[in-house]
This record gives sequence, structure tokens and C-alpha cells, in this order.
Amino acid sequence: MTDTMERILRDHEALVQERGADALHALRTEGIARFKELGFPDTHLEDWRFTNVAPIAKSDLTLGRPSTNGVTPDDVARLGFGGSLVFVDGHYRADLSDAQVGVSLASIRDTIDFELKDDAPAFVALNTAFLEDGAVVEVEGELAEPLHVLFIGTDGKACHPRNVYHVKRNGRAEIVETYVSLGTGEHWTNAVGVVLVSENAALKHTRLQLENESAFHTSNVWVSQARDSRYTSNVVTLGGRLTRNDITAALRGEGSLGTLNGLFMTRGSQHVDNHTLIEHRVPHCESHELYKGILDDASSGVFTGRIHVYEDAQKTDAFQSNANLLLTDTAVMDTQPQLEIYADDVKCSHGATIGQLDEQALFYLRSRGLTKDRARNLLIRAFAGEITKRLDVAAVRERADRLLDSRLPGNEEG
Amino acid sequence: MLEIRNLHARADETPILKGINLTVKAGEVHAIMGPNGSGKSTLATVLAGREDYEVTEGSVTYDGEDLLDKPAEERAQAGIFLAFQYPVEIPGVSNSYFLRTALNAIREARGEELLDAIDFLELARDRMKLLKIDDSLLTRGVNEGFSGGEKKRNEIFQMAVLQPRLAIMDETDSGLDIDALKIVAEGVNALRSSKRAFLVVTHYQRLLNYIVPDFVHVLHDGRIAKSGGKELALELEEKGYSWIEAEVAAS
Repeated sequence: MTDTMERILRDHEALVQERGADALHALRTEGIARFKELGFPDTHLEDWRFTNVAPIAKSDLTLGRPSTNGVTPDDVARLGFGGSLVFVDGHYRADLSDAQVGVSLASIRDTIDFELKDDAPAFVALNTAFLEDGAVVEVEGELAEPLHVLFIGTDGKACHPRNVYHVKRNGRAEIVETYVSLGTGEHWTNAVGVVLVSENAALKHTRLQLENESAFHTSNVWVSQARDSRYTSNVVTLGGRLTRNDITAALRGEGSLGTLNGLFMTRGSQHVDNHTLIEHRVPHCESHELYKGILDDASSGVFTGRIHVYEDAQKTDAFQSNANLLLTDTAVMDTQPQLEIYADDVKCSHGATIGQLDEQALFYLRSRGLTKDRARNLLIRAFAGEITKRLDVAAVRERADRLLDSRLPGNEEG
Repeated sequence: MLEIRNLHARADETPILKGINLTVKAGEVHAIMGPNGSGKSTLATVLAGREDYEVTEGSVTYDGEDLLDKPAEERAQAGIFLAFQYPVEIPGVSNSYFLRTALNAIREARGEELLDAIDFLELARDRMKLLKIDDSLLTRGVNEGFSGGEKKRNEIFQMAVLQPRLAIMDETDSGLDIDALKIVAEGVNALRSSKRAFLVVTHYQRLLNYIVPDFVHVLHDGRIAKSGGKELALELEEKGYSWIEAEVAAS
């Protein structure tokens, strides 16, 4: 048994001692048992072939506990967007938050199925083992302003937030999760999101990953869509040493539309792995998926996009595209579209590209007076812009654009 | 303005230009004609600074300075413009943003004041009328989904905005119907001035009915085989290129 596994078991034992037999106790016990059985995934597993989590398994991180220290309102103002729910090392900080959460995980225990017990993958089981806190948001009617949720990780800590969003019938909401680091050291965010979009409801869900380049980030988001619902996910990853995002969107009600957008830009030895699964379970649903990656230096990326069309899901309209830009010869990208189609009357298309900047386009721009760097940057920004322009919260879009700009050749931060 | 002396260039290991000599003065329009594979487009592209071609011999001076030493962008900043045979599509960059960036890059290099979006738009609208270009073309991605004719008109529109001193047109007429050709020619003629020179590369004489050249040069196997006035183009139209080849073979 690894030292890390021992530490996880010790942390779990301590948490059980501290919380006693509360409403989430049984779930935590099941979670730790399952994680013990599964262990950290290794690259022999099909789903983890290109992502090696050994650095997480070998890391020396302790479980983040509720505290009132370390983070100041100035930090929140600097790192967040204002109007936020603020979490530090996975725990809600009322003193730092502008918005209020009146709902706890325990209180929704009987009304929302957020448990994800069946076949939970290792990191979901681990999240369940440490179930305690997370952003729980129930939306009735229309949320006037986008809700910002800020997750601040501090050096040396592991955290396992469980976020649950439920947009009720005819409701409408926009939620932006931003993940940042307080320091520059290692920490690990292992988030799980459970998203329910009820009949005729709409949710725009953005996840902005801006953690430091020593951080580990794993996430699993499970989305369930009811009849005529709309769900849009924008996953933008600029931070982290090692990031793995899994999202599963299940279209369970006819007439629902699921849109998954993704963008990452990596440098140094950063690694970003996006796994997406869209389940067309019923007829007359639509899904659009566009993931893009820009890889600089010796960074690496993975995209696995599965679309599963169930036997009954006739008249499915599914579109998937994955495009990647390699800025160096040392960057590596693996992309795998996977279509599983069991219905016969469907429209399904996918495309994946991995390429370098277009030499013709570079010359065209230079022949109009733009320097090589400017021409290159313009093309990179245009490539990324297809995703960032979809971020319709202006402050979020501007921040993403600014960070992208700061990484372009000739613009690097000091 | 432009002095080309014994210019040799190759792509990979294949020699394409084998000793071009040409002098272009301000105010002049030179037509470069010749059969496919004679090196017309290569000459245009080498002058614009494409690095895929290696110059193995000879020299090019522009305003008395060595041109071949300069990267493409510095040539553009010095007033050289190439209207592409195949304009490149750049999705995600609007035509107006692209053109303003280009114009300002050139102005910046010359120490001139930069144009803001409003001043630029005023200038662009004025030039658009010249090329009978629709407003929507400004907001669309550069050449993205443009028809062949729209792409060529967009090239001349860019020329009209950037106001080069040496404009090189690489088969701007190919693939254009007669109406589009007339519009393009009108645009070019409106830009003709005593301070500006044109190098018009074309396969067909037709364009030269509308853009009347001062000189016509016929390229054959990487060299200028014959030069003359505008009547040479008509002769070529009538007789084809084979008599030039025969002349070259005889000499």
C-alpha cells in the first residue's frame, strides 16, 4: 500500500471521528471502501492510457479542513469575480462570500440523488469518501445575475468539493466556477459536480481552471437533462500541472439540447485530459460539442469524446469537433472520438484535427506588414476565440482572453 | 524603384528563376506574361518575401536598398504589396480587424499615427465604394467562405487601403467573370499614380484591355524572353506563346 493511500485512510478516519455518524456518514464509508478497492487509476486502464496520475499518488498532501485563516478579502477580490460563493480548500467561507448558500449537502440528502454510488470511478469514490461540503444551488425561476463560485486551493492541501446544481422547471441560470491557487505550491482539487436540469429549464455552466502550474485537478461532472432542457458547459483550462476533466451529459428527456465546449492552452510540461460522454437516451435530442487545445513547449493533451446513442434515441442530432494546435515539435496531443450508435435514424458527425499554424496564413499576414510574432499570435487568438467568444459573462471572457494574450510569444508574464 | 538583376531562385532543388533582369520605375505598369510554369508566380512571391524559395544568385534592390535581406513584413512596411493568386482564409479574424492591424503595423513602422476603429472605418468605407464591396465583408472572417471573385476583390480592396508604392498582382484576373474583372481593373486604375508602380502578373491578355500596361514582358523558362509595349500582349493573344519558344530556341 502506498504512503498516500495510508494517508488518505488516516485522513478519512480522522474525518469520521470528527463528524461522527452524521447524515453523510454512510456514504463516506461506502466511498472509502470503493476507493480502497479501486486505488489510484494507472495507465493500464483504457480510460487512463494517456494520463499518468502517479504524481498525485506520490504527492504529500493533507485533507483541507474548515478554517478561517490564510485567505483575505483582498485575495478573493484579486482571484475572483465578486458576488461569489467562496470555498477555501473545499470548504465554504461565509466570511469571504458575497452570496449566501442556505443549502447544505446533508439537507438535500433525501431529495436529490447526488450520490453517484453505482460504478463510481476511483476519484468520484474518493470524493464521496470525503463528502462534507460544496456549492449546492437550487434555482427556481430565473437567476438574474450569473452566480460565481470561487474555489481557492492552498499549498499542500487536497480537497473534494461536491457541487450540486438543480435548475427547476422553467428555470434559468448561469453558474461560473473558477478554480485558483493562493500560493505556488502543490495542491489537489478533486471536484465532483451533479447537475440536474429540469423540464424546459436552462443552465449555462462554465468552469475556469486557473490554478498554479504545480496543482493537480481532477473533476467529474454528471449532468442529467429533462425534457426540452438546455445545458451548456464551457470548460476552460489554463492552469494546473495535471488536469483531468470528465463530463457526462445524459439527455434523458425528448427535445433537450446539450452543448459542451472546451478550450485549453498549455505550456511547460502541463498536461490536460478532457473526457466527455454524451448519452442520447431518448429521441429528438441534440448535442453540439467543440473542444480545442493549444499546446506550447513540451505540454501534452488528451481528448476522448464519446457519443452514445441508445437504441430508442431516433432522430438524434449529434455533432462533435476536436481541433488542436501544436506550437512546438515537443508538444503531444492524443485525440479519440468514439461514436457508439445503436439507433438507425440519426445524424451524427465528428471530426478531429491536430495541426500546426498554417504557414500560408502566416505568410499572408506577414505580407501585409505584421511581424512574425504578431501574425502567429493573431492566428492563435483566432483559434481560441471560437471558444472564448462563447463565454457570455463579459468579465469571464475578458479574463480568459487576457490570460491567453499573456501567454503568447512576446507577451509572457515575467 | 525596383531593380532586379540576374535573379535566380529555386524551390527545394528545382531551379525556377534563371536570371531575371527587370527595372521598374515609379508610375509604370509592367505586365508579366508567360505560359504555365514559366516562373511568373514565383517571381511575384519571391519579391514579396516568401521563404520557401531560395535565391541562389542575383540581386533585387528597392529604392536603392537590398530587398532580399528583408523579411516579408519589412517589405510590406516599405510599401510592397502582393495581391495573392490564392488569397488565404483566416477564420476567426474579421476582415476589418485584420486590415486595421495591417495598416497600423505599417504606419507604426513608418512612425505614423495609428488609426482608431472609427477613423479606420471611414477610410475602409471610402475604399469599399471603389471596389463595390458590401459592408458585411468587413465583419466576416478574412476571406472565410468568400467566392473566388470576392477574394480577388478583397485583395484589391486591401491594396486600396494599404496604398502600397509597388503593387504586385499575381493572376488577379484568373477565375474572374468579366463584370468582376472590370471592377477590379477600375480599382487598380484609380490607384495608378506617378508615385506608384504595378507589376501585373497574368496569363491572359484580357486583363490588359482594362489595365493598360506601359511594358509587357514574356517569361519563358525562368527568364524574360521578350519585352515590348502593350502591343506585345495583343500579339501573344493572337499567336500564343509558342513563337516565343521558337525564338528562344533559335537564338
